Amino acid sequence: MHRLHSILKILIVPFLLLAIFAAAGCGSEAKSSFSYAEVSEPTSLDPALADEAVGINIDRYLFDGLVRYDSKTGDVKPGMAEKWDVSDDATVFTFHLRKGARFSNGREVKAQDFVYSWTRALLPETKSGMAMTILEPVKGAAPVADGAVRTLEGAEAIDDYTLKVTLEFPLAEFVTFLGHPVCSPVPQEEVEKPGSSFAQQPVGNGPFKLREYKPNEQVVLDRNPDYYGDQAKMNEVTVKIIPSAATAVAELKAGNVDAVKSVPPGETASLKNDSSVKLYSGVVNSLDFVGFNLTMDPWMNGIPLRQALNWAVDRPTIADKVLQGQAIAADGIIPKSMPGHQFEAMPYSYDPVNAKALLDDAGFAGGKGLPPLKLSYRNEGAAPDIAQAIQANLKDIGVNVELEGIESTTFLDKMIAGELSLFVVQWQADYNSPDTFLYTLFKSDQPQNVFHYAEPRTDALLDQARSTLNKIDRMKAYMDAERQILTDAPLIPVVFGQDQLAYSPQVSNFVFTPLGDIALDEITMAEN
Amino acid sequence: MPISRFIFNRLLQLLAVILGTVTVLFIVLYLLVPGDAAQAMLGAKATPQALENLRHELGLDRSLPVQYGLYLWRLLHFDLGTSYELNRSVSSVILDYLPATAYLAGAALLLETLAGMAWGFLTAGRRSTRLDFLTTISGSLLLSTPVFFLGMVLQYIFGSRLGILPISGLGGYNPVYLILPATTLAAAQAVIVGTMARSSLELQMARPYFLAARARGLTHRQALVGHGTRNALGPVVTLLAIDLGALMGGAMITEIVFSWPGIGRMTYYAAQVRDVPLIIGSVVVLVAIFVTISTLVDIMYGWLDPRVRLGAISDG
Repeated sequence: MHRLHSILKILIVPFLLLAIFAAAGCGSEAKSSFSYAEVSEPTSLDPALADEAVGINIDRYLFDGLVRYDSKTGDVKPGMAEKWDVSDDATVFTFHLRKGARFSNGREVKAQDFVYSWTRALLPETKSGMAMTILEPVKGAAPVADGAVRTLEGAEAIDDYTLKVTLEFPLAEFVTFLGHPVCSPVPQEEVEKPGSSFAQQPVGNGPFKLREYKPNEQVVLDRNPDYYGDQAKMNEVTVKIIPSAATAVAELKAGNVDAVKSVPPGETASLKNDSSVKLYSGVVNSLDFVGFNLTMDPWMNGIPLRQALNWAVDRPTIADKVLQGQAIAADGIIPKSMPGHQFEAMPYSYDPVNAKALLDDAGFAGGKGLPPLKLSYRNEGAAPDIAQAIQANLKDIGVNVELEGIESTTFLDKMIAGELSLFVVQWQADYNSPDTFLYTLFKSDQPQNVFHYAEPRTDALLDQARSTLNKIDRMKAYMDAERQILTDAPLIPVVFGQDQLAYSPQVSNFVFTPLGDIALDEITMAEN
Repeated sequence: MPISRFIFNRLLQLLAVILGTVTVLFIVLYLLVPGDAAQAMLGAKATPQALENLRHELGLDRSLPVQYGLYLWRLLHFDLGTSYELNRSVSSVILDYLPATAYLAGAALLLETLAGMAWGFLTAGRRSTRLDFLTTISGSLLLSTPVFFLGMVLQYIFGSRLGILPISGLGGYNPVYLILPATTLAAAQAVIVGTMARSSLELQMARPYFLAARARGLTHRQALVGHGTRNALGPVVTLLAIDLGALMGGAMITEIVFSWPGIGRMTYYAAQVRDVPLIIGSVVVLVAIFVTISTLVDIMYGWLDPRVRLGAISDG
């Protein structure tokens, strides 16, 4: 017995010590990794080829361009460029780069890297789908894209830390374009390394670096300890590719992922009352609208008719009931999350009585006298549901439209060719500026002006906005243009997009940016 | 017919099937899939010259017969073209995903073999018994349950509720991740293998040699295992060999439900984004695998049983 007591005394001390150390470890260590599920594979991690939401979200944290976007407001803030100067005529931008910022291979990022990267993105062999969309304003971009030359005339490295960019035309908003990953610097020696694939093994300068990429499976990012800016809160971020939304939600509930991006309506409904999961609704920079082809009757010279149809659409019901909260009612053309949004731009609300009166004034009382109308839409996403709702709303005021669902690529070809009279379409912002909606869609000489809308006052306001350096005056010009467009009614704005995300209660700071990204460097997890 | 001529005929058939597959796919996809691939790749603001250059590079500015001929010429050199969406060679993309599908198909084949043979042994010669009734009911249930639904039910039970098995991903080839997707893929096929095994065993059980073995004092099980099984395996092995090819191509839905990074899921993605070279390449590879396995089985059978290559009817 005495010996047993002695043994117990000997053993108890180390166990007590173990317990003390274990207790000291418990309760004070925060989880240092975050994982989230995406329903599709990034087409590429090469920023020159990033043209879809999954790859863009990852690339925005693998790479840093000249500027970054604020995660809450979407406003431009300094990135690799500490500051920049703009010429009075808004055609020459001089960027002053910060010194000492490095790629994850250790080499310092210099002005020449931007010249190389932008040129490479434009060259035909790269086959970038976004290069011309973003870099078109740069002088000499078109000849590089054509393959006629291999030097980008408008991008010049004055010295290692000064980049001078000359544009083809005035564009005061040009800096907002530069947050897109296609404008990121890439190290030439890594891109051209024999035997390696930069699309699968990118080397960047962002707050994260790539640890592992298993195609169709997952992307694992490690915090970049050499990043020049604020260190990411998480040591590791894993992006899991789970194409089935039901499986992704099941993994979230099982604790195998911390968040699911893009939860479809069917899954959202079941999660609303589930305390093990939190839901987040994030407004994104997209607009679903009905467009009128102004080269066709009865829309040509038919402002009262087009305004009448605007009054007939019940936007809140479409957003809340038809789209089950995956959208919010549009109150203009510029989404709520974008600079330049104005709350009182939209002169129309849901008012069938007023709509009928205007229809009468237009000479089509009760819908009589209208030619056969066809509402075309692409057989994808929310478009079929929106089209059906619009058909029902118009029928209430006596305007009968036949629905025509068209395969996606054919729909785009027909719309751009001007073959569709009335169509439902969604437009997503390429950069965080009202210019991407207003100038691209409504300037009379733009190829994507699918309405064939031409109003000299609108053109003048848009050109004025592009050449105005003062931000307040610039935004005012864009806002005036928006109001003019809404009055002329070449479209019926219906809803702004809203992403539904689900995340674990363990996530203590969940940040979803106005550009539709999870802010990977700001996420924090609760302590265990 | 000499075996060499038999093999030659089968190889010709193999080539004909692959050629036919490529031809049908090419016509259907290039004629019926609308839209301009170059415009889709370069975006709405691409210059006309850039679009023209890319169309020329991809051969899209040539007539359909010329495009078809060029595709066949490249196919002879095992060049399946370049993926529009991923901007990589189709061959390299397929090689990335094929191993995962082969791994899953192999596991499913093993499962359905074990389960099917056990099913056959247990039920052979036991018609109109309670066991027969139970296995018939459960077999019908498994055969009529859609694969995706079975997969989701297994995920819910073993993943969400019990939390004992992972429900998605490859898990770095950890076998635990294989259990649910392989079971989902093998379930219906196990019933078919079991039914075939049972019929084949019962056929052997009616043979004189079997009755003689029983008369010599062997138990039913001893006679079945020691004598009947070997003779009964022929049709079952043929079915399993062909099924391997079918599993490789038929795992798409299972791969989507379980986020398995295989070629089926990749083909689904290619169809979603209308990546024509990737669609044709992956379907051609899967058809080639299936037809090659079938041909090898044919050749093996013809070598083993001269009656097959002579075209005589085999009574098993």
